[in-house]
Amino acid sequence: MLNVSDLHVSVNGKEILKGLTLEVKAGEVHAIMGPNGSGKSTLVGVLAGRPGYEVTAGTVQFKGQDLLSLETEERAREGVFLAFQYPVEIPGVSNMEFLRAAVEAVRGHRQQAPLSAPEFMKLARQTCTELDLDPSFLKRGVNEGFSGGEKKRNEILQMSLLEPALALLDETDSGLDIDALQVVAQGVNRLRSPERAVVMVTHYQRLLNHVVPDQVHVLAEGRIVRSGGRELALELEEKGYGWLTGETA
Amino acid sequence: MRPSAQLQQRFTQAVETRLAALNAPPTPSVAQLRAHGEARFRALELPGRGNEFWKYSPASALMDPDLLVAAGSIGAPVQIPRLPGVTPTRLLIVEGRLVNVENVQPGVTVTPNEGPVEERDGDPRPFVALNAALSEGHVLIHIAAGSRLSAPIELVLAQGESRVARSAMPRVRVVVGAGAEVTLIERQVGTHRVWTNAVLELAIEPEANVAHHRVGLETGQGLWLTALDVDVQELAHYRLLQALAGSALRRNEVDVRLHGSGSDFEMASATFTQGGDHLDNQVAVQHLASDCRSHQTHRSIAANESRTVLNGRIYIARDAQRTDAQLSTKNLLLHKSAEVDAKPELEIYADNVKCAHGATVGSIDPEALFYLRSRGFSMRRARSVLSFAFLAGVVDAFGIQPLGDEVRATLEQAFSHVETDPEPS
Repeated sequence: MLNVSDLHVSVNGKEILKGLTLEVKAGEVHAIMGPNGSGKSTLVGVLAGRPGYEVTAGTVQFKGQDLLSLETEERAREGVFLAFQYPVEIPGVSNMEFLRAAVEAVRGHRQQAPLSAPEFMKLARQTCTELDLDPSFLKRGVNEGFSGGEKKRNEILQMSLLEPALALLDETDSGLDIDALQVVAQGVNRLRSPERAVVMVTHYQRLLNHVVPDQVHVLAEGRIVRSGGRELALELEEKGYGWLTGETA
Repeated sequence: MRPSAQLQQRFTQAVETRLAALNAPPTPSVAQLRAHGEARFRALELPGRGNEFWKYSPASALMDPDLLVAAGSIGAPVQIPRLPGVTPTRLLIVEGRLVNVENVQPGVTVTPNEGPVEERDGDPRPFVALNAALSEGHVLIHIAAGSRLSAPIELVLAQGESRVARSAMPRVRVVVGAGAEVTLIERQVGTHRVWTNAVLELAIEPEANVAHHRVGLETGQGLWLTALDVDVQELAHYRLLQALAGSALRRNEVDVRLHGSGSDFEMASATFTQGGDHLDNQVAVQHLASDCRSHQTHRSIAANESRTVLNGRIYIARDAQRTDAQLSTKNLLLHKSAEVDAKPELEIYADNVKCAHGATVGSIDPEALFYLRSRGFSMRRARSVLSFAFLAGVVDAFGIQPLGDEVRATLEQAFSHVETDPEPS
């Protein structure tokens, strides 16, 4: 599904990723952990096509294509989805319009028949209910005046409707209370299937109690310094990152 | 002789030629209007270089003698949109002549070419005087005191189909009787090279309530100069909602005078300019009595090499205590070569007032652009959606749903055709 090989990425001339290699197979859930500033957000940002990054070396293959040669929107249509750490507020565009346009763009590309307005509204309302979101949410401006938790759940709502092949979650769990965390976890678990993959960037292992990853990677100073199973996350929680990065915890 | 003086002289000669060739006035009222206008036009100086009021717009574009040549047949009216589900009292004014009136509601009287034609004393604007001097007729709309009109009044200022350069001098006065409630729609329709030099006067009697929707979204060769003079008496409420595109030149002179205590003016303006278009909003609000409120919201988008101007003057007289005056202008530049001039001007002589203004100019938020693209929106679509979103608050304030829908569709269509910079600015 996703093959990142020796990826070097700079921002404003400063190298952030320094030779990162990662393979994610269809059906797998990977967690990326690591201290602040280690390059976690840069990794998912560069995969989703966030502007401002310079790839200086390395390759990224997604479903056999050169991902880095695709425009941001082409990646989205091919099935890459990034749940933002800080979702953007867009007053003046209703959440419903926004979701519908996004779903149309992606379905159109997959040559799926467009959904009629009532079909889409029904689907959106139903998904809201599953995510414990009030359907009045759909009428508001995109993320406008949403609480932190509502914004994160709105990301999961989009993910659920867009049904991506590769979901990238950038600290979707941070700042969430336990109820919201469970909603996010349910959304991710529901997406899990043999055809899809998930990469979750997280700071805490708390989310991993609810979404059990196949692999956990520790990112430090722009490289993956350790990979393991679920137990690696527990170990990190106990010991901090110091023992892996050479710093005192 | 300086070039601007030469231009003024040629223009003045063309005005004299046109005056000499005018048809006989249809009524004594029109004759009187012409006589007053002619005298004032001769007494006033044409805008030249250094004229502050015309600093941001080329008055020279209007002072083209070709525009004053009598055009002969102007052809049938251009195509004019109709609102679905709305049956307004509709006045069709084609190049200054009232050609059709439909569905006159009880409480409304429409009188062509009869007085009273009142002039504001000492109006310094030569083109307002020219409108009177070259008048082919004027219209008085009277709304009886206490009327609650069930349908809007739609005033269509349209061009004819002829492609010959020319000018038109429409003049409409609307008197809204005490306590009456009216929704007014004003349309500026046509893309040909016609100078429409319009004067629109609104007299709003005590406790009356007027919602004025102004729509002019066609771009093209049209030269639109509109003087909108509004007198608001005590406890009356005037709301101006406008959606305007640029044109070869579109300039709105809005002069609102709050004469009566407790009167209120609200303005919400959404504008979009593209190509080499020019749009100039000159808004002057005069607080002349105590306890009045004026709140203005301006949102403008300028693309390509276009230029948008807002001059917002707020005058608060010495007796206008407890005035609440606000002006907010936010501007979005889609390209580096576009220009916005936003200039608030405050003149305050009362000591107990609340007066605030704010102006911002920015470009599309790159993070919002990335957010939409990461959801599958093309660059063009994302920019179009974000552009419309910038104006949406104003369009949502339109009180007539089908008109709001029409404006929205027109703007979305326009934004979807704006070229994207190779490198987003």
